[in-house]
Amino acid sequence: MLQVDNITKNFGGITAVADVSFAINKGEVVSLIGPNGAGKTTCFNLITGFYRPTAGRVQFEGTDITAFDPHRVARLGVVRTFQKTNVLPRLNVFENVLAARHLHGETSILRAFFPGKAVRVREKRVRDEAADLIETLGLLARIDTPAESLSCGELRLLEVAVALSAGPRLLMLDEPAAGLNTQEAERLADILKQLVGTRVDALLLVEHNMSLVMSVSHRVVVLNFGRKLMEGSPEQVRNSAEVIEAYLGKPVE
Amino acid sequence: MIFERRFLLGALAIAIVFPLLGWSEYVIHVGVLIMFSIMLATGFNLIVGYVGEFSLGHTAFLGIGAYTAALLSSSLGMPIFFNIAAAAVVAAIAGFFIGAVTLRLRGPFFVIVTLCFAEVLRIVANNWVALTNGPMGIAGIVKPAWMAQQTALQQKIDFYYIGLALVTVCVYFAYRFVYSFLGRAVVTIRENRFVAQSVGIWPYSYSLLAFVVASAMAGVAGAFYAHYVSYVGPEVFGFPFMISMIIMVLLGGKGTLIGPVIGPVIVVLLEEYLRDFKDLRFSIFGLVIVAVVLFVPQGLMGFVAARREQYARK
Repeated sequence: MLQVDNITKNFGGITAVADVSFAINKGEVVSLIGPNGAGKTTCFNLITGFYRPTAGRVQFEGTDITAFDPHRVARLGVVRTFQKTNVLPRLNVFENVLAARHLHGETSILRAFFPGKAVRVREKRVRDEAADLIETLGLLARIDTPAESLSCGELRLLEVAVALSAGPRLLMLDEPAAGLNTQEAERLADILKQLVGTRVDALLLVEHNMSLVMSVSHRVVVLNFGRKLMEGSPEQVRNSAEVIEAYLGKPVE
Repeated sequence: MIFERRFLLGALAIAIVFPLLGWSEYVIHVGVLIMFSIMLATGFNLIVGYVGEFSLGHTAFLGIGAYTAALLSSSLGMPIFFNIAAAAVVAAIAGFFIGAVTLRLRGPFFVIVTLCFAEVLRIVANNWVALTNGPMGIAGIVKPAWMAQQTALQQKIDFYYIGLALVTVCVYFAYRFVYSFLGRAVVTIRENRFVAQSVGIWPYSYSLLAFVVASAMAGVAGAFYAHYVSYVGPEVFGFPFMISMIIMVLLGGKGTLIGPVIGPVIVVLLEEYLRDFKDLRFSIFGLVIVAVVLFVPQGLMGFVAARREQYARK
């Protein structure tokens, strides 16, 4: 589905991402891990068009999306979340999810000003779909609550709901479990496992919570200092001396 | 949504009945000014309240609309309704081009550049004597033919109803804009531009559309004003109109549809009432604004914005 070839991003003299390549296949959950500053979020920004790569190429289902604007990438079905506030804080849960359903409720401008029956039917369907998604994620009780009043755990779920509402085929979550306790993270892991194959075709995850990463991923890509350190199954990564060194350092001799 | 619709329909009913109560010419005149202001504020609110960018150059489109109507009427003798429609189109086109440039900027840069556009147009209107008659302005815009035999009071009542019809059209368009995917898109852009992009909304295009619609409304207001006052000078591009637009929208409540209807009513009445205080009225006005900003920062109708949509459960 997604093919990332040798992407590089320089910010002035700093190389944030250097020559990183990986691929995501349909039906897969892939995690991108690495210590802080390894370039994980930069990778997200490069794939979704928020940054332009200095070099390299990103392809989604055969289409070269390297120079695409973010909204065009989303239109093709690649939707990402942000590490900080992926919601519209002053709007309630329903409005958040409804707003993200934009692409499914679009009509012509003329139709917006002079709506016919078709527009009303469609509008109703979009609202039902939004409510349905909220129910799936277990937020129905909070449907009228403004996003800024949600608890941290609920907020993370809403972030996933907002991204899902856009109808992605490849969902890219940037630290969906940040700030969650063990129980909440486990619940999120259950939800994420069910998503692939039902609501999305594939999932790309950036996460620091290793138990979550290990339990949901099929494949893990490890970055360190902007370079790809290794790629493999969760077991391979867990047992890799290089990865342990990247996170914890080398023992003093 | 439902509250806003009911409120607006109620206000429309009151506005229809209002002139039938035998008011003086002066009261109807104030009513006409309110209608004019509602058109302006409703359009301006689409930019300030929904797109969330602060334009200081909305008078550009008021002026363009006023001059379009004035020129069509005085040199070609076109009828009022044609002029109003033409003013809407010309202002919308101008809005498209000015918006296409300015909406690439955000925050304070947007504020300054929009202000510059209005100021440039004012200078052009002041100096392009061949077209605009310079500082003398264009006088003698003819009143509609059917008004020739009417009393001054009846003329004002006619203008009041023309204004009310135009307000109804503007508010209808604003209502449809806000409560469709268009409004949801611009509110998403306002609340979080990055999220908007990540779910497939192109901020530039939707902001531009709102800007064009708002420009068209200002153009309509300008044309209406030109025909009512039957004179247009470069002051239509001036900053005082901009200030009253800002006050009306902020006082009424930006990001609501009722705000720009209530705001103009209060501001116009206050302006008229405070006339007795001569020069002091500007100071009193300033104090009122300070009080609003301090005590009701969301505007009088701010509470409406807090509850925009709910899911109707079966």
